[in-house]
Amino acid sequence: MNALAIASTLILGVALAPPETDYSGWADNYTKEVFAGATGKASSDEASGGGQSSAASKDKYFRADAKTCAIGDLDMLVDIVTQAGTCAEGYAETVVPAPCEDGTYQLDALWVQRVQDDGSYAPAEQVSEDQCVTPGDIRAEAERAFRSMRVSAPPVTLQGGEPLLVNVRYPAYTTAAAQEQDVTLLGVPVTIRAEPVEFAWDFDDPHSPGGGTLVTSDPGRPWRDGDPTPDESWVGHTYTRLGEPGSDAGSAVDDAGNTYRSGVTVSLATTWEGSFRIAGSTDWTPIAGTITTTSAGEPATVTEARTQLVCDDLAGSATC
Amino acid sequence: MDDDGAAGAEAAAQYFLQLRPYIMQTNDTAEWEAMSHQACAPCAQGLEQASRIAQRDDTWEGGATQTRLLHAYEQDSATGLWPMDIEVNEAAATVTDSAGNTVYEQDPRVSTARVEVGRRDGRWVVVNVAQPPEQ
Repeated sequence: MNALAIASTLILGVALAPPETDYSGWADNYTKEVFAGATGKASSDEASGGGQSSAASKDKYFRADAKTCAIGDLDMLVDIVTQAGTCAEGYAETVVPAPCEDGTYQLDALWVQRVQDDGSYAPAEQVSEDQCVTPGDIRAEAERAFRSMRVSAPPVTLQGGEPLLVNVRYPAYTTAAAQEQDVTLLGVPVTIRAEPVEFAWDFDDPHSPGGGTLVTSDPGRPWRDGDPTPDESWVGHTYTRLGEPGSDAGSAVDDAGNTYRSGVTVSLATTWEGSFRIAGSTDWTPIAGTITTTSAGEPATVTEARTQLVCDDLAGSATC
Repeated sequence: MDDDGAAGAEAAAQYFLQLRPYIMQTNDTAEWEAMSHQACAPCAQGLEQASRIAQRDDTWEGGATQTRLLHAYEQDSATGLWPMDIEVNEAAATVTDSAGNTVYEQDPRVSTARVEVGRRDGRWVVVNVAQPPEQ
């Protein structure tokens, strides 16, 4: 191609066939936000009888926010939105400058159309003004949500190869990860958070002096190659006595004459404290009260080490 | 889709999802437009893309979409919307230009969409096709 032809090509803007990457399929276009909360299963037959939907006989509530205004022409909303007159013409989504301070949540005015005795709807009435919801406004609801929060009990580990031996300090540990749950309280999106603050261990040891329990704020940690031998300061337990076979239930003697206990189960009661944060805020507000969870480890056997050479380290590796 | 309850909502949602490759192939968008609510961004994207393909004189092939209802939720009492989770199975698709060059290729893929369907003037409209919210 001579220089003139090249120049003409560029001036005319003729592309040298670049691939068109601006096409896409369904999966590339899903939006990130939904309009409605989704609960439960659909009621299959109620809705199709008589042409009336199951929601038609309830009072119609409407909050004058951008999301609702965007769908304000739907049959369920059109009358009330029109009467309230709080959405822009054509129900276009409008960006409204937020009058609320940081840390508070703008809750738009609530309107309702009440269903009358004859089944028709009354004119829309305003229930509340625009509000800036503060954490204090929803503290009581947040406490209730925390108290009924389903917190997963953390795992219980007593580190050591079976059978466990007397007079060995076995590390005990769990995880201390916080758990969060998103809820809506009085129309406000809120995150509830539970953090573990205390661990109460029960090592199922009624025979060793000093008892078989330990309360600590330390979740413990596993022993790893290179760590010093665990001492009293390491979260864990030493079994020193195994009871009297014949008089103590659960205590027995094996063929070699060693006393042992089987089905020894370590359990853990974890105490959790709560806090909450309103959507869009960075501050966590503490919640009064605590939750407790209970978890247990796998049953194990503990035995005397009279004739057995201890050849395994705490990680179960043979050291002989 | 004649049913105005849950069954009709589910039928409308699946019909609309399956309609996409058709409008890409034909630019026949009357039904698509009638079922798209103005708040539905993926619906607008589909319409705009069908038009763009036609304007460029490109050709869309494939992309046949199969759907399977995974979970139908209760009708939302505030908005009247019917939310549902639908598995969307898109076959491979290609777009070729008028010179026969392949300008776009799409692998087959399976995804899950949260579809929200509503009633307007006694007809079904798709209000949203979204990623399912995290539980």
